[in-house]
Amino acid sequence: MRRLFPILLPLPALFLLIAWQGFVTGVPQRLFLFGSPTQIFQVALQELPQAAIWHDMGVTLSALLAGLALGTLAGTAGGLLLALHPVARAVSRPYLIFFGSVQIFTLAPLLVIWFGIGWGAKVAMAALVTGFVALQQAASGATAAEQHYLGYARSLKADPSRVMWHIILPGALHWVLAGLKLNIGFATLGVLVGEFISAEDGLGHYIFKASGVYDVPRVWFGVLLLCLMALALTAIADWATKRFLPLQGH
Amino acid sequence: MLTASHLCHDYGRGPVLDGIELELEAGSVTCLLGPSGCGKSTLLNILAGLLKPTSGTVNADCARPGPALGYMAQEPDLLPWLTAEKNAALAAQLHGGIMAPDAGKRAALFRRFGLAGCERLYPHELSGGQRQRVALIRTLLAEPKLLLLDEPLGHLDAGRRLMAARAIRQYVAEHRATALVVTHQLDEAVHLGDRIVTLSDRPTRVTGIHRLDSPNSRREAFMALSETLASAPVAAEGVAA
Repeated sequence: MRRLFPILLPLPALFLLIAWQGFVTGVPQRLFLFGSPTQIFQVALQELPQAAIWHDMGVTLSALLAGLALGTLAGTAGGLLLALHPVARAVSRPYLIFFGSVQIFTLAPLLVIWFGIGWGAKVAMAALVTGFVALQQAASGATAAEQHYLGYARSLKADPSRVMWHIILPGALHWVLAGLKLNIGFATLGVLVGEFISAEDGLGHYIFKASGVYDVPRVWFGVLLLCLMALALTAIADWATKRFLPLQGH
Repeated sequence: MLTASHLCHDYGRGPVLDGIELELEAGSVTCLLGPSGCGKSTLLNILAGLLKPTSGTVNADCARPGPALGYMAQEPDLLPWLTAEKNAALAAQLHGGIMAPDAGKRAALFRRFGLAGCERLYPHELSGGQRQRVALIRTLLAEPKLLLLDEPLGHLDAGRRLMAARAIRQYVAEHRATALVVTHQLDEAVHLGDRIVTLSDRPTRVTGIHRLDSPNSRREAFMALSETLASAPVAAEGVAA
């Protein structure tokens, strides 16, 4: 099995590509509706040497990362503050449930009104979605750390600032980091929704524009680039999770 | 060293502790033996100052939260993001300058508890018994004067349990410390304790005190307690001191 793995692994992809190519070859309607692998390859050859597609990728990636960073930082800080104060925790709970049930993506049109159609709206969208997840993760993490690990610290009468630094904060960060992979997906979605609604550049805009003129191979090419970007980010998140979060069984 | 008089506690659904009287002597290990769920952990938490009793008093200098108190909860609560050795040194971390972390002492304790080589492992990589021993090392490393241990050997196999019991006795003797160990295992209590205090089911009362100062008295206490535990799970009035 292990010896066959390198041979077996590309087979499904190869099969899919050949079937796709066979399905559309010689039938112009099908070719128009579905595009073909060779057309996508040609688009790639055409687009990749040009600066425009790299600009779009850069815009999407930078908005995604900025939104992710902003949302994670603000959300973590907010979650910690809420979790640390029992009154704040109790009062904020129903609000968190209420805002948690709001589909944040439905706010995208408002964000475009507030931040314009540029980079800002996309960052805001990504930050809002990821911020909310980070907030809940940080609050849960801090609360869990308090419940599970604080008995010992209390028996030692440890200094509160040290308890914060050694127990509460790592506990909260732990959960935030555990939610990072989920949040990369959310940030990507946030940026794309922003770009679909209204934008002047970015991969979402590229895909949207291509679909507007029925240029199916270009749509596929944009989707492919997005996939690769998401894969790379997930790989980095995987590495970070393994490096800084040594708990498989938790 | 520590005196508890007339401790009563009630979580709001009937009494849990009903007038517990307890006196711990310096340099000795007292085992609390009682049926599961009888309120042993409640009693320990009250003695550790983590829980306020409904009525009654606890008198002792070190029986309040602070570095002189070595409290170990029933479930090993190691921090999952720290290695075994960093978990063991947590008291020093939480107290900063007061206690200097002593790597040599830590290594010796890891060896004594049969954990040499596990220092760099994370809690999820350790077995339940290993985690429990790390928590025990963490407690002893802070060099407390009063040990309050809640079933510290519950996850250990028979051999390691004897080894760890011996290590606890040795610590108490060397440091002139006082230890109260909650257990529901008779053999553990007999091996570990200088005294065994038996408790009744809820509402918990002290039903007997056995002194174990010679091999003979250990054997006799073991036989007597086996007899009472087997015949009447509720009370053993005859052995009260």
